[in-house]
Amino acid sequence: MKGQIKEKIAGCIGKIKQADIKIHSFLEIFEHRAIEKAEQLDEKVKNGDKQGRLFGLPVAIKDNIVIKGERATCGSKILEGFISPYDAEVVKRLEREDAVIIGRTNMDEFAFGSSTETSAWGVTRNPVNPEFVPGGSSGGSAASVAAGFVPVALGSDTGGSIRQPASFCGVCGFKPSYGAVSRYGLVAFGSSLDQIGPFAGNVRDIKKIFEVIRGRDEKDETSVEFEPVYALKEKVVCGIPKEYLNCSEKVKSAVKKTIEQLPKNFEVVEISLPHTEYAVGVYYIIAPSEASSNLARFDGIRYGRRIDGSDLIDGYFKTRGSGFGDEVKRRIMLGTFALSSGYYDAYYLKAQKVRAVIKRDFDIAFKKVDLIIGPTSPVIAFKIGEITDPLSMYLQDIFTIPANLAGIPAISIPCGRGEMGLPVGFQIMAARFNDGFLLEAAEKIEEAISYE
Amino acid sequence: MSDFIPTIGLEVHVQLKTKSKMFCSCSTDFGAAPNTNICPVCTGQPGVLPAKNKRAIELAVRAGLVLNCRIEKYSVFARKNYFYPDLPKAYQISQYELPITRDGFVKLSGKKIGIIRAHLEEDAGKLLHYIGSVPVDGSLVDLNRCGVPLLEIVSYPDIDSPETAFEYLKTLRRLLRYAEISDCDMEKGSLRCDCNVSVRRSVDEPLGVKTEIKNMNSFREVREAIAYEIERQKKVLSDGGKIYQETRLWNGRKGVTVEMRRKEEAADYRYFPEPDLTPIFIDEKIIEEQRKLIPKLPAERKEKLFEMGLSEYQVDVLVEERKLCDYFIAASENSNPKEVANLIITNLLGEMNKKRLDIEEVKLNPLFVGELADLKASGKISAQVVKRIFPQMFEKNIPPSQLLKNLNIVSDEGKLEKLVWEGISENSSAWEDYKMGKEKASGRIIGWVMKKTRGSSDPATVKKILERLKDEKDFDN
Repeated sequence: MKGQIKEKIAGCIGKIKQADIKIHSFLEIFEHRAIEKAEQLDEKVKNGDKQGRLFGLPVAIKDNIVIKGERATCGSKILEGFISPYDAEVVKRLEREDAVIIGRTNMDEFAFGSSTETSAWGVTRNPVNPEFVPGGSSGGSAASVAAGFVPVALGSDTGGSIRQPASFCGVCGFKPSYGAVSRYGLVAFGSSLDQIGPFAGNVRDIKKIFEVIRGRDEKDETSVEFEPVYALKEKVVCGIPKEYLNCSEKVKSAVKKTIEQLPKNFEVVEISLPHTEYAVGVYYIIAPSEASSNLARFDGIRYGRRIDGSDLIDGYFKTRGSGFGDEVKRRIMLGTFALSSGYYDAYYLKAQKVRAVIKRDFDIAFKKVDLIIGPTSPVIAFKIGEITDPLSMYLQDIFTIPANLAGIPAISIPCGRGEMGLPVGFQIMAARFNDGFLLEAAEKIEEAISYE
Repeated sequence: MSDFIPTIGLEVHVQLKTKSKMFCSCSTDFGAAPNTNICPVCTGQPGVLPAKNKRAIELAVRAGLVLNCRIEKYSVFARKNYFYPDLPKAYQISQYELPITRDGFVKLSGKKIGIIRAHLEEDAGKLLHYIGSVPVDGSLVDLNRCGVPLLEIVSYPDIDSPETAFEYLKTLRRLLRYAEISDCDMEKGSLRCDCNVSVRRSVDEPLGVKTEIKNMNSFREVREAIAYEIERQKKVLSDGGKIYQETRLWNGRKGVTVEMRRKEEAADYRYFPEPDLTPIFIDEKIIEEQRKLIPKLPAERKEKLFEMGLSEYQVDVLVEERKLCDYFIAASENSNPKEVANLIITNLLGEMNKKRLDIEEVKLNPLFVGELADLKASGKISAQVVKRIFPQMFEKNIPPSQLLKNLNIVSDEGKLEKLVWEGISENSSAWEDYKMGKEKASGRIIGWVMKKTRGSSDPATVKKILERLKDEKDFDN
């Protein structure tokens, strides 16, 4: 009998090869690796060996999560040719449970962006309508799930990079609590904000992946062991922050309809997160500051691109000058400036203080409500090339950034359609480490709502 | 040249005695082949994260106690950002605003040197420009040292002379070695020292502009470099010149300091708290555990040794190394301490030197040394006998009594005198010559006695007897 898993994986790869030409969600398909793994799994079936929790499940991985022996570029030329000497913790955990890693997906360069347009390897198109962006930065992962290439994919979320593309592509995308999933092997962007999370077509699959990847990893000191409780209360109080209603009409009406369809035991109240307006500003100090330091290691000396110069400094200029794209350079400069002596107190330190205030907004809110709900993004997917002004692009993340600043879990689930059938995302947030409760609630909401 | 007052502060980096690196599990062994003690974490591969070495933190706490510092209950790591090929992450994980210990002092003879802070950080790698004596094309990078745990100890500018700096370093090294915090071996790079030096005309003036000197390879060089720099600054100022805040490199071969970079060119390190590491929390339990592990320190031991009647030289040698001092204390427990000190300093250290052994590797039971000291002190054996039997004691860990028995050492003077008389009658012409004042003639009689006793008599004792007999004879005449 021919191996069932091998057949399934070969089919999955065939479909990507044929149909991803139009989408460009994958940067590389790990055909050899995936088939080999599938054969091992078939062998397991034959021998009646114990099967992992994700047995034979094809998974796509964002290009900033490293896999031993495979390339990882973070969508950047500077990591051209880099092959990772080690596995990310999440990759280990997925493979231990017999998932099959299919390939790596496109992203905004170093996850700096909300459209996947800044990738050095070309744009990814939205499977719902190829004229439009899939969102970003995990646009490749979102599109790979939306196009039906893979049932699940991993992304990373620093300011909305999972939830916003999930929203644009009409799939589910979950950013766990900061510390819930090990970051070991995720190429760092904003270390105090980054979190790995799954994309899937439904909340049940999100839960399945989360259960495998979550948990303390001693290689990541910021990771935390906790037992998510997948249970709801009899009455669930949902707060809608009045600050989150400043969005496009279509988005507003889809969110409103969703709220009307919430399960009967969900009660909705209006709340305030008064410092929301500072979130984007705070984020664009902290994230680039950390990024400017995190990206300094790409100097051409040990791996990736290297252009020799007349001396050491010239070599740095040439390597980094040609290896990084404009948006990366912009953020490195922003961050370098904010951390410079004489400016540190006014920018980085002040931003950290405001971050604490924003966190407190959430602490206060979660004393009154169990969930905070609202739109994931103020808009639906925009056309490729439509937004050229960096500041307008930064404002894409206005509703998603606060969860990263506060370290709380947040999910985006599809809740309706706007112009040209483009999806709208509904964001649900919970208190830190209430990930289980959040996913349980999201599943109930997913069941309860229907839209055209 | 009018008089100037120097002000000196030292920044000392010591390698903490841990098996593994500060943030990964790589070995800290010295002398491994280049780039063999490395892993994704310490080579700064994309996506890696650091995880704190608990042992290094404990040693930092112990150091804080030894340096009389306040141990901070809460401290954090920070990133010090700069580009250099020996720094793979392009930032060094260090401590900045909140170090683990601060506000301490080191006591020297007659004065105290304040400690501003002692903080944890990781070492960088090493650039090689030569293989042997052959220059390489470009530079080679060895990352073995990268991530090795260091403690940076920053003194107040309380030091006023090159000699005091020298004494401070020696005292510091002794303390850190006693408490087994660091090997403090400059040759192996486990201790490095940078000096900040300035001069001013009087104590009423504000401090002068300081220069930082680096690249000294021994305490002696530190003393020389500071002395040179003080003289240089004095001369510049006396000639109406100006001192610039700059980093200067010591050139040991030429004995001068040379400008490396001015402050205007100095990097802005853009310190910020390391987001990948959780803060360090130190509770009373950790502090107490470490306090218990600190042995009696040199100052206290010195006092005790002086009380035992040892000379200043003996005390200095014995106190320098804790294990040696422990050995002395064990050996002198029931024996003559001055004689034990002599034996250890002359014979034991001599044998250790010959065999290139550390005190930890010495097998000889210290009680045997005590026994030997008493034999010597009571005059039962001479220095020559000690010299003869010590190597065997040392090598085989045999008590001196047994060796003396084996050798049939004739230490009984009455028995020896009889033999000497026999020697005289067998060599009467030599005896006559000797009596006439030919010192050399005694050799034949001594040789005869030695031969007769098959080398087990002590020639010095024989000589002594011979001299006595000659004097008695003189008197008879």
